[in-house]
Amino acid sequence: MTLKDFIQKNRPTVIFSFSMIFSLICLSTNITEQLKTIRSFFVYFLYFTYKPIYEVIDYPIRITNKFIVIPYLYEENLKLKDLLKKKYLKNLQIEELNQKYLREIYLDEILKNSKYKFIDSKVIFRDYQNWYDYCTINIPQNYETVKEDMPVITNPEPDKFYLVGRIWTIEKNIAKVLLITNPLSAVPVKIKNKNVEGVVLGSGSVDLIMDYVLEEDDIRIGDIIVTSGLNNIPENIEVGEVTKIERSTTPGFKKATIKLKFNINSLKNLLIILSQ
Amino acid sequence: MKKFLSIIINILIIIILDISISRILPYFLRPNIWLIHIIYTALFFNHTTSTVIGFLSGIIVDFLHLNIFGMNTLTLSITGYVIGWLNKRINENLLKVQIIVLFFTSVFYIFLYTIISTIFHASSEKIFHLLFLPFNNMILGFFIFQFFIWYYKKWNLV
Repeated sequence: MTLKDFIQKNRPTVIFSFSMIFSLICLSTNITEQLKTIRSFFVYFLYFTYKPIYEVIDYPIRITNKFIVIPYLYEENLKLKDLLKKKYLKNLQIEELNQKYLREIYLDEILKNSKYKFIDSKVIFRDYQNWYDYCTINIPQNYETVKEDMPVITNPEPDKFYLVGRIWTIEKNIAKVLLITNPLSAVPVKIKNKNVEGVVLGSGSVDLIMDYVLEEDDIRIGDIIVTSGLNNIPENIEVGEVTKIERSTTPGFKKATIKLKFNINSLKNLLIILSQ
Repeated sequence: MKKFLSIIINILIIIILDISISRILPYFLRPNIWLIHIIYTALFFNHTTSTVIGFLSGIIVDFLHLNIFGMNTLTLSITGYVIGWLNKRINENLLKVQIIVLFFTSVFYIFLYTIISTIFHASSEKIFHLLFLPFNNMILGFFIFQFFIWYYKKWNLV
């Protein structure tokens, strides 16, 4: 029997032997690392079959995943909204605390240099129908010491105090302030550095009326009006400036129009002067 | 020539099927299409073809999959050669015969794979995945086997 006949007769065994030898050589020599380049080359040429298959198979999977993700996204969205809300509130709290702290420093500074004793308060409400009549304030500390008719002032600058009004009613830590512009308000005043006295009446607008000024009294445009110290309002708290002088409806008296020296529309923090 | 061409086209189809199945099904549901094809050639063609297909399939699988090169060449070659002995010895047209051959060949393949991977220190994770193979080849693989029968009948080779 020739070799050719043997191969013809045992072809499967010959092929099998060859494949065995080939595989064992590959396994024994551990040529996996060396074949990586050829493998990449092989895979590269098969990519034309990979890509459409991946696209076709992945498309419904991607769509399904998107639907699956929706409830999770919704939940996450809710959580994030909640978190955002909390953060926002916290931020507001921090901001308020910061403002409170700055205000306390500011008040300490004022108290050191002032002869009055104050209680701090904050405007919490103003009725737009009674804008120049009253405002509601919140007294955070020592509200039990606050009594009706106590003067309320504002201090836009540390050394400037302007009369805003008086405590009208009080309920726990909430008080209503009768503004100086209210027609019901009447405050005894005088002209600064002059012995000219009168009464400032509210007119329901930004301008006030100083009435009951004697005909012979020296009052001029530009004069500064301050409190006279009568009632329980301390002396020399600025009210406004004379802008117009005319004859009063009461015989024997003059009246003057007073322009406020502070912006009554933007009242924010007010001080209540305690009785000395 | 016709036979050669049909086998080449079928191998390409198997590559696509293999990629698709590995993408769609989890590992415990994947049949080994290469093994099913070898079983098919062993039962319906002849011993030589099954050995050659086993060898070629092994090389392709080794190239495609990230494993030790030669592992699948050796296992599938041995499987192809051993299963090739069944050619003309059993009635391959009976469905129950096909199912039994699919199952036991898969068991034999796992046995071989385990031994060879132990000798050559391949990863044990892959062996665990193979435990499901006989059942997958028996159930899902049976339909793929029927596809091969239909495919080669189209080419008038069976």
